[in-house]
Amino acid sequence: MELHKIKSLIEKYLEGETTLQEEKALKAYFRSGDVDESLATYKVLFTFYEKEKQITYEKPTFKAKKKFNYLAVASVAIILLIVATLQFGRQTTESQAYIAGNKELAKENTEALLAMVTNVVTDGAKKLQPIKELPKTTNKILK
Amino acid sequence: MNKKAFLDFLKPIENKIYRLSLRFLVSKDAAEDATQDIILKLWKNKNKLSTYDSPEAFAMTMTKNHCIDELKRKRNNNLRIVHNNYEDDKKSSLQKQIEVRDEFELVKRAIKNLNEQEQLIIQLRDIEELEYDEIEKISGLKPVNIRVILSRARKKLRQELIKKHNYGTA
Repeated sequence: MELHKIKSLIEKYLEGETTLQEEKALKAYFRSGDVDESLATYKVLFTFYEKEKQITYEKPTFKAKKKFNYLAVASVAIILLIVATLQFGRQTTESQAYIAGNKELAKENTEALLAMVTNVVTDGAKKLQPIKELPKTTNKILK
Repeated sequence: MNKKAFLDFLKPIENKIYRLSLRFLVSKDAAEDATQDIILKLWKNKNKLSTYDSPEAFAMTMTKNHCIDELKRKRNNNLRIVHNNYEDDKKSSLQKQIEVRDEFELVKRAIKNLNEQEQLIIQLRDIEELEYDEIEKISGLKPVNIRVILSRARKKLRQELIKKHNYGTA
């Protein structure tokens, strides 16, 4: 479009008398890049308007609710429950056996320990025997 | 209006709703909130929508009113809208100077300095490229008034930009 046409369109535009088509033609002219220096201000304005129209609303992301497959969930839960019970049951018998074995061992250990203590005590008592000899001599002197 | 019909109705206009909210409220967060509020309001009124002459215009009018209320509320509360970079001219930090140098930022600011009616009309005509009869339905103004407001707003913007442009080059 020739410059004088553009200029007269701009005059009409400023008076609010242009049609939408004319306004779109103006935008197209300013988009073309080949714009007269004297119209630089309008170039900014019209390109701004076009840029503004590109702005889009970004929806907040709602997660779509999936339909719950109760049967699948229930069957999985039941299987898990069965497996868990079996596993747990086996574990308890095993650990009970373990504990039972331990009781035997503990008893043996305790007995051994007690025996040792008794030995030590009796040994100690034997070593203390000579002390009984001491009062014999004092008794002889005092008599 | 069922869910699908509502979504079909919403699709072509939600961007317009958002852009108008953004024009008025400036901050993206505020505009997103406003858009959500408006969509919710529309959803609540979905059965009435089809009785309107133009449901789309109804939605846009609702947006306009919602945003203007929002602005009033903030003003009454003495709260400035967050991210509003345009209200305080005196604070000229380096960041602000850089922004102002950005030409688009300049236009945005110039539009923000228009009154609410002018902002609305510029948004609807020069950005959304709506016909006058649609603008009439949305704004409730007479066609003659719309043209007067539009012409005044366009001239103000030109004035503002030429002024800034000359400062910039001088």
